[in-house]
Amino acid sequence: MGILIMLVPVTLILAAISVAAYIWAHRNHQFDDLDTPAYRILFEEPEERNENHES
Amino acid sequence: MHHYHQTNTDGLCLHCARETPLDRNFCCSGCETVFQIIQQRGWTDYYRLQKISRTDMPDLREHKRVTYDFLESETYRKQHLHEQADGTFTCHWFIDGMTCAACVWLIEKGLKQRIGVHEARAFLDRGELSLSVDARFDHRSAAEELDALGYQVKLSPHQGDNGTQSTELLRLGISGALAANMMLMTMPLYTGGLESDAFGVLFGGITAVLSIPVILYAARPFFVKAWAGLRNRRLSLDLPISIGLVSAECLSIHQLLTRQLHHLYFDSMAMLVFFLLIGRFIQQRGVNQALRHTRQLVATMPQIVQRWDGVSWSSVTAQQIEPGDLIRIESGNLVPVDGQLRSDDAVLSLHVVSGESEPIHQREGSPVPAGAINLGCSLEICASSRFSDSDSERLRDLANRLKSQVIPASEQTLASVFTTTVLITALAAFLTHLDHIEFAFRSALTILIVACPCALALARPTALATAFRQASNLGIWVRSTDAWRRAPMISRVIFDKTGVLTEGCPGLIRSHWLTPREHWLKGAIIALERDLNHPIAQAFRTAFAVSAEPTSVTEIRVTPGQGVQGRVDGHHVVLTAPHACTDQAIHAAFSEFPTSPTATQVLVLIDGQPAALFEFEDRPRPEAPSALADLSHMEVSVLSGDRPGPVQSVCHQLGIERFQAAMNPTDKLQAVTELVHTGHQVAVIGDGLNDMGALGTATIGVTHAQATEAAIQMADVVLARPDLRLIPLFLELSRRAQRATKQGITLSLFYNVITVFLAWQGLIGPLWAAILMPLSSLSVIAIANYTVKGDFRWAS
Repeated sequence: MGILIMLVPVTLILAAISVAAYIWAHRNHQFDDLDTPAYRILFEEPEERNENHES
Repeated sequence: MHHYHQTNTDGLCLHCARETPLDRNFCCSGCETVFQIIQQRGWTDYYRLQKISRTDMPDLREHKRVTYDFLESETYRKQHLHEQADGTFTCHWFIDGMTCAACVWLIEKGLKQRIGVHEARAFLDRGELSLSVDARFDHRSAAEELDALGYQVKLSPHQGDNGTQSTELLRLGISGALAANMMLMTMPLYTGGLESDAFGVLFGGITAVLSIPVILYAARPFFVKAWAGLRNRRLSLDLPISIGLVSAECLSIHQLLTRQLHHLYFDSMAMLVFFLLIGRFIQQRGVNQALRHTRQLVATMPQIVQRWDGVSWSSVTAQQIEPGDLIRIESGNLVPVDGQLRSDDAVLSLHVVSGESEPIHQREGSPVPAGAINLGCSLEICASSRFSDSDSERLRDLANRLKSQVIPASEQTLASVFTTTVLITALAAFLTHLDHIEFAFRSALTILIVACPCALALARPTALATAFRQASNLGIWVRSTDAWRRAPMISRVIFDKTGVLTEGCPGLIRSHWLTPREHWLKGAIIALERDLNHPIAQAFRTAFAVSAEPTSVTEIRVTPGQGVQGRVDGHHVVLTAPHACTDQAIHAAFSEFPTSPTATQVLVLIDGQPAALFEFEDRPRPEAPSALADLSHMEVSVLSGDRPGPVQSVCHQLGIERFQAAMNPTDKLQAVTELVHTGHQVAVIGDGLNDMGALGTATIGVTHAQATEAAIQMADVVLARPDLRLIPLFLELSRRAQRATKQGITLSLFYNVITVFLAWQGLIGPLWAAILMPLSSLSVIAIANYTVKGDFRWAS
């Protein structure tokens, strides 16, 4: 049972990390558009930089 | 003829991949134009993406060209461009017709190559485009290029935020993660043997801590709604949920403090919150999607008209027109305000105003209603009203008022009955054990928790969410959850004629040839009618586009209301209405042909000799008979603003016995209001300004995406395409959703009665309660899916 002393905090920390990551992704607007990014991966060429705007 | 590297070898249009005869490369000229642009710019990767993503392409035959003058106006710059700190501007456009990955790629690619664009990002699910540009960017020409590619650009009224949905997602995710972890922590307690152990207290304590964000943050919407219901003296389903959640939390804390570890409900409470949030999220997504679609449909480019300011013509938006202003309406455009005609004569389509299928001819001084479409040359009118107080706006207000009187607020009876029953049972349990106060509290709280209407609260949202999704896949956009409740009661269906039961524009029904040179004549007619906006010209173009031989025409002359003439290959070709032709010999030559009294006839003369006679009629849609067959158990009738002749002809062809013709918008509104007031549940299907009142007062108003903006705003249900078969499908779906709700409620009531009984008797352990609770929720979700979706395709 002694192993639990270590396992329980590890579980909780992992849970906390995943929830924090979820909140971060949410704040980062990653859930704003759920459809388009899935398709963007199909675009073969790298997104080229637009040359014609001022630097 | 153009030559391409590819040719149509598999019977599909080279651009949109719709079925196309093998001798043609494209299904329509719209597709051909877009294909050419894509080839010229070297954007052929589009077709690779199109094959991968395989979604329905927008039908370019429906594409209406729009003018984008507004994008150059001062109003646009002020209201729609937002200056950022670094000196760039952001703006948001709706893109109509963006359906797949290939569209996103094409739109972004095209824009990123333009001067002054810093960033262009398309959002497929919202149909939106977000642009970051500098002052050199030419908004109008960019919009025109998108239009040429088949996408209509509209203005998005806001910044494209979906904040509420996003917060819901955060609550959902957090409650899910915490609930799963709490379950893990509670598992050792279920297996028993830890009650007296320090580990038992540790696990119980951890779940208690984890439950705090769930109850304080994730479950907040339930408390807010329950409280709002109480303040309006209404018992909503959120009330027992809230009581259940709070009791579970309080009881569990009490149990933990008194070391009674086998009665902890923290994890069940969190699971419940998670499931409830899922149900609501999916349901809200369905509503949002429908609202987004319709918002996009009614979003339009503000119309720019030319106003005479005493010296010259200047551009103003329709909203800026004052009574007394002299304004000019270009050919093909909508008349934005009521007014009086100042040009000699005009050809107008009142299709959207009154439902009349034939164009009318007006002389100087006669009134022109707002919503009329100018089919002739550009015309001048003297405005007699403002944009907002034209007849159509007044009718919209009236319909809105009537609707709020007729439709009762969403019924809450079941929720109230259930809530009262649970509260009374809990109170009874409390009172019967009054002698032992602690036990009395516990049994009352246990009943509140076990009877917490998890499955009950899930039944309707899941059924509706499934129905929303199914409807959306079929191209039916339902704009409110309440429409689903009302739709199964429908017993009468009232159709508008023009544009709903019929195609909305004349089609060639018969040709009688007197000349052997059919092929040449078709080419000549196409050449003559090429640039005309008249419905007959469009009908000729549709009918002859494929078989015509391209040719050129000179000395073209259009006589409004009579016809068109010109010189082709040295021959003088005249297309004329029969009433405009005075030569009796010509009439005699055509008299041998049997003609229909309701059809519009066009005579063709070559060098003064009779050559052909064409008959046009607004035909019923091809799918109308099968749609009406599916509605055979309903009373079907037609209310039309058109003349009795065409209405009778169409109704006769479709076997509809009840019809009324020549109804003005108020007549329609009154007819429908009367039916609704006498207890009939009526669905109205219409698409014009004249149907707006009727759509608004009907139990369910249905319109389609090509309808007038005003009709779309009034309707409860918008069909993505004017396919009549979607109407019986929608009604069937609504009945299924209702059935699924009832089954779910029955199941969960059954479950509740059994578990409350067992809990009362103390026969049910916490392990079983924890297993049964999500199980009943899952079975309700399964029922919703099975009943609503089921064998739907087969049934349709």
